[in-house]
Amino acid sequence: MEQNITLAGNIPVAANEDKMRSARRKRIILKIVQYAVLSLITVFLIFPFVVMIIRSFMRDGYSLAEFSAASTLKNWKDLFSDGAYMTPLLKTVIIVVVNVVIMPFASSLCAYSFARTKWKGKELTFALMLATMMIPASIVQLPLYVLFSKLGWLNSVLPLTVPNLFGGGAINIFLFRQYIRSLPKELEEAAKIDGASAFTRYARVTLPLCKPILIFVAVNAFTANWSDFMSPLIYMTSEDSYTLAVAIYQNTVGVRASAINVRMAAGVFMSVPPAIIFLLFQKNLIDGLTVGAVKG
Amino acid sequence: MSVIVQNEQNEKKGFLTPRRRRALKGWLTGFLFALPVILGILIFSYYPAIQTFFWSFTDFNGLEITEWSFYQYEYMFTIDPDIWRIFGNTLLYAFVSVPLGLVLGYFLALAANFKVKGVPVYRLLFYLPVIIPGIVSGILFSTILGGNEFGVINEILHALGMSAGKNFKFFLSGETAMGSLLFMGVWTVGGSMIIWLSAFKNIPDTLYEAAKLDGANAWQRLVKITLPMSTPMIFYNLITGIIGALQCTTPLVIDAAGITGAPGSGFDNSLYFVAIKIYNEAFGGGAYYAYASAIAWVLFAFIGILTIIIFSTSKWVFYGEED
Amino acid sequence: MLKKLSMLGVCALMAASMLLGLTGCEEVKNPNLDENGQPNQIVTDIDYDVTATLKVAYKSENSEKAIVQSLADGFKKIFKNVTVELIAYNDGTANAITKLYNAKTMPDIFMSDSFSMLTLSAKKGLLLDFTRYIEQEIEAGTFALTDYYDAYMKLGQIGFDGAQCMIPRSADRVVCHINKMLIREVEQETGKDILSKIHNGWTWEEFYEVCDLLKEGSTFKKSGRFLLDGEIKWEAVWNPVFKSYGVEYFDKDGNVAIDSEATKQALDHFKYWVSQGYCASPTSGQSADFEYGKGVFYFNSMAASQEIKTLIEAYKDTNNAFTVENASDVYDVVTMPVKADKPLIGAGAAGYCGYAGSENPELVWQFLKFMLTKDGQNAIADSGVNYVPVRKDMADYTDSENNHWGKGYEKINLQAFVYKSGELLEDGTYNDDWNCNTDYFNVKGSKYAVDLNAGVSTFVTSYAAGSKTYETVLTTLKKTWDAALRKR
Repeated sequence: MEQNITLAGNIPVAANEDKMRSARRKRIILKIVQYAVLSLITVFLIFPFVVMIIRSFMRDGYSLAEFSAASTLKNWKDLFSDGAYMTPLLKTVIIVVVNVVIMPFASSLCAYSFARTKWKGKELTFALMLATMMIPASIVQLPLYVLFSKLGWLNSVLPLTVPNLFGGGAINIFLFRQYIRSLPKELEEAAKIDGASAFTRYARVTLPLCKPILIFVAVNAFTANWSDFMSPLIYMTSEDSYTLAVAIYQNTVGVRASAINVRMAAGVFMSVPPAIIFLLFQKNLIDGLTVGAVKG
Repeated sequence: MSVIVQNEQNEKKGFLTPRRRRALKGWLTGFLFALPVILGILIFSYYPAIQTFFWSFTDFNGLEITEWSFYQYEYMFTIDPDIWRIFGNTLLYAFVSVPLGLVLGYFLALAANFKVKGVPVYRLLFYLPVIIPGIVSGILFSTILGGNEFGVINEILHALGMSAGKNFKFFLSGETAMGSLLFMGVWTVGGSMIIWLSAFKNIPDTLYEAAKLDGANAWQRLVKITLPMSTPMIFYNLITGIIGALQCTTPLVIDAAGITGAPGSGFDNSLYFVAIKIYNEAFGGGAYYAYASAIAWVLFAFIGILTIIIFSTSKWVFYGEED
Repeated sequence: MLKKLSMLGVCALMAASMLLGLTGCEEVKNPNLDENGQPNQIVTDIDYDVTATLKVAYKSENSEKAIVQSLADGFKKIFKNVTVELIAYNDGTANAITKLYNAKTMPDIFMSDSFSMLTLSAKKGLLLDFTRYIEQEIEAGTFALTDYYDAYMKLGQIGFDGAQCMIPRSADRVVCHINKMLIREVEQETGKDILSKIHNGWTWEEFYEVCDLLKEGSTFKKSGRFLLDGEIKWEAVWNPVFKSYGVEYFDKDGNVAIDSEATKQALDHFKYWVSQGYCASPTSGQSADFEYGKGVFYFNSMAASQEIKTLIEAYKDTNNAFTVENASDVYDVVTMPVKADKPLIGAGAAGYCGYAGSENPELVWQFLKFMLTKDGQNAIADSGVNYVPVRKDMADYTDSENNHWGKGYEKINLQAFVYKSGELLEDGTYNDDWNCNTDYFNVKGSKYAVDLNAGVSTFVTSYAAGSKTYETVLTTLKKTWDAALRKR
């Protein structure tokens, strides 16, 4: 009969505990290093925005170190009372709300056609649609500017909303198509047998199942239109029709660097809604990226 | 029924037999659903593209056309003194910033994949700079990377002991402007981090475990597993990223007042990009739509060539599977 | 069959877009306009009780709104039933007005400067030509061009001798604004008298002498502090200097003639400012910050009242805060330094243009005619901005009862604004020997004015910044000019 009872093979117990202790120590050191790396990166990436927030509470012409001497709420008061930013904000909100509603529905409708119906020329049309993603914005903006000016649509929200009625964006249609394809066909088949028309099948069966992508497209519509700068700059030409992005830009042009901190406040203000939306819908956003990107 | 009567009945119905009618109905259903986007791409994509193509051979200035010739292209390639610098700047920016972003994004994704508590919070913070609107980050960074002693980074460096006369010039010097712009791009590396994270998710852990058992170290795992498995996705994002970067207009919001020269051009035309040139020509007071169209088509042609490269060198199918 | 149909459809679309682009939707022709887009009928006596609305656009900066408001109020006293609506625009004038024109929301009157006017003159039917109105009124004896400084009226004409498309609102002459307080600080420190060396009509040599004296003070020995905000890139600063050195831009036949010894000297003149440390390098992002109370000299045509307001704001929360009443303790103005053998000082022109397609062109003319009357010019001064009136008979600022631009600023050397450029002489004539308009581009055509100017601005600033040689900047200038002139 064996007298030495051992654990873990032939290693005596005491030595085993030593090994565990050093392994644990290594793990702790690793964790510390990892946290340090993460924190350093965070500080680097976030500090500009912290600066922006701090500056928005400071008076002009002082360096950051003198924060306590120069702190003020004046910038924020100016931001809200000054018509220069509030009217554009309203315009931006209108445009964004309209697009957030139109784009998911317009693109899902068209995607349904590509995903679930059969008609001659479908593949060609889909290819032509994807090909438009290649066309640079600069090419599109010039004739559309001339067209809109002839139609009298400049300085209104129409140029930034009506085109999105027509399909809601090629990339969104692409995403919806991929997603709808991956849905099981049985429910729709059943509806078809029950005599439902194509539109009913789309609206009652497919669309509710597309909720994740609907949210994704809506959120993207929000961010894209909220931050959009070049298009409103070109189509909205007079002060009372600026969007928020253009208003902030115009107050940078030519002005003798005055009221720079009000612009910081405006910048903070402009960043808050997308940040909130992102925080609320982040899982959705990341999953949505997978749907489109991985499939290739 | 006799054949003759049947044929008569068929003739009465004419062209649209029941079978043809059903086929037409089926076709119409699909077509009508897609009609909005068909009209959309015709009106808002193809019509403008054709329109600018024709304009580029004229002298259209918003009001009238008086000549048809290759003059705009001749002007662009032989007379305009800035255009080659512009092409060079744009290519440099696109082909450096995007791969740089992907490489940095890889490392960031590694960090974001650490198995520590609270990593999702860090991931969020990494991605936050990406959603800041472009105009905001433009004016923010023109303050942070300000070239005189009031720029935030210069202030910090002075506080840490850098001599009072020396300042990093960032955007205020033709030599450092492009570098500063690329540096500014580092903050949005969170975007490519997300792409890498999705790529990682798709690589089954079992592959890594098997490799570890076989004795592969971290570098070998990177090169033999991670990279090959991610290649399709990374390649796609590389090309679309470059296509997007070729249309960059960020200098317009940094250099809004145009210290030496046209708005958005940067010192000595160091930040002058093609999309900004097009904007200045068309909307900069002179209404040189024809010239702007010519430049835009040169850009378009280049993007087209890049896209053809995706087509031919990747196994990724553009159309999607057949039903 | 479907394939054939779709091919047909694509061809039809291409044809349609070509057509659409070439002809455009047919514009409805306005029957009141002739083939140049100008009004058919020139009406100069109108009913003062007419009811109408006039839209006036002003550039959203400084006190432009106050000026326009003041003019509108004065106008309303004459035309009681005309409502004047004010709208603001940002961005460069030519850009902003072009955009409004394209959006079909053109104002009737808009503020402009002479260069923007020249750019806009290329668009047929945009600018209202006032020439026939002026001629009719002169015939009727209700208007006299001789009341106004010729140089400024010319700045409002296309080609300096053609259609009067802009009515200047003031005689904006470049002057040298001074911060007396900073000078006195240095005087106290060094014990040397500096202020007495500054006088109307001083030369560049005298100016440099003063600068050297100032640089002995500790304030200006610090790095980052400069004496002069020279506005080197502004044509009203470099053009007179170029002309006084005898630089010729284009010769009579329109050939480029700028490469000369005179040009080199003129460029070196500006480089001297930077190399001596008087003025910050134009490309360094630094400046003397006169308007923040840190610089001593500022070459600009801004009205004295404006600079005083800016300085009050700059010193607001410091020990040196002051009010308009004791402004002369801190601020004064003097003529811009000149070259002793060929003294020339530049002039800018800001004014208002009219829209040719306006519904009430006659009211547009009446509004601007009002601006040119004594009441109109005084209205501008009453708004708080004391630009020099464009009327010759208002040059005497000491008579502040009749000429409001001097009111409240008696202790300020306002003569700097009219010295040798519009002061009334004893024999009843006006002298404007020193005036110098930027008109070198006339031989090439107004259309290119802005681009040619931009080329020279870069020419001067990049040489002054010190990093490029004369040959380099000259080559760049020639290329820029060539490209600008050959653009279509």
